[in-house]
Amino acid sequence: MTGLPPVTCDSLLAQISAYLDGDLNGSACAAIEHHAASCAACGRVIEDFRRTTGLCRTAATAPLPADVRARARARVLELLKRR
Amino acid sequence: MDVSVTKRGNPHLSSTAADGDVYAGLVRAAAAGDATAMEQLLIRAQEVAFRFSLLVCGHAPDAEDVMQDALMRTYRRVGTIKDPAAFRTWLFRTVRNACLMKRRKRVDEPARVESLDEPHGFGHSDGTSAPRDVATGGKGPEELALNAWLGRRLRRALAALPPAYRMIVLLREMEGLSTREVADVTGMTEVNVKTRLHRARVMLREALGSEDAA
Ligand SMILES: [Zn+2]
Repeated sequence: MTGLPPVTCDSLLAQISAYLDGDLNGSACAAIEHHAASCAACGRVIEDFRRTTGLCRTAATAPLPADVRARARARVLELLKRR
Repeated sequence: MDVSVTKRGNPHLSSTAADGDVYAGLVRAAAAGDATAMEQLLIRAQEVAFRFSLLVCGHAPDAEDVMQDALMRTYRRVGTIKDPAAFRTWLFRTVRNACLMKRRKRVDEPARVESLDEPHGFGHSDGTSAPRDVATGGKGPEELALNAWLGRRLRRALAALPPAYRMIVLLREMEGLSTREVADVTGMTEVNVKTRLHRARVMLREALGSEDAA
């Protein structure tokens, strides 16, 4: 970690998206993990961010309302029938 | 020094290249005459249109029109497409444009168009603007549909975001586009996409956390 400024709670929060998205190099990641290992608050922040993204991903895979799906399907069948 | 070199932030936390591959595969198969693939592709195109329309543009009656538009454009596009891998970004650009056109036609809401189309030109200097009422309040069909889809808690957290941020959350976190693809769809730089996504995540976390406490 030589050459890198020490990770603080503020700097961790500022870099957390880059960290989670894989935009940081190995030593920068290690510095964040080193801090989080001994700072419960930052450990929670990282978990919260992961959970938030997970919540969004889950929402995207949820089926659309049944009436919307039925209309979408009817439109497709109507279009392909006319082919 | 206790430095793990194997444990890293998940590089693919919110980017799902596989999703794009699914679309590309369906486009290729549909173009080759596979009727089932065509059907699936046309359904997916409409699902994308519904999610974008409702969450970003937030006008339920428009969503059906935007779905119809996405359906027809996808259908016409399949036979002529040169690069199936680029289909998904094309689809999102198409849907975004259709949403913007619908809103331009609603003369009572000119400001809304600005806040999505030109995030820097409206609202605060950092590109944000006041959250629109769509996702925030009211008891209209939008709120009911959004509640059914997202759940009340996530809907309210998303409602607190400026529309331009909500669009990035939808594209990147929900739909799984890469930063590059989001930049292609929105016309923003990749740096801008990353900055806004980060701010949006901070805001979402705070909103979700405060609901927990409430
Ligand atoms: Zn800390």
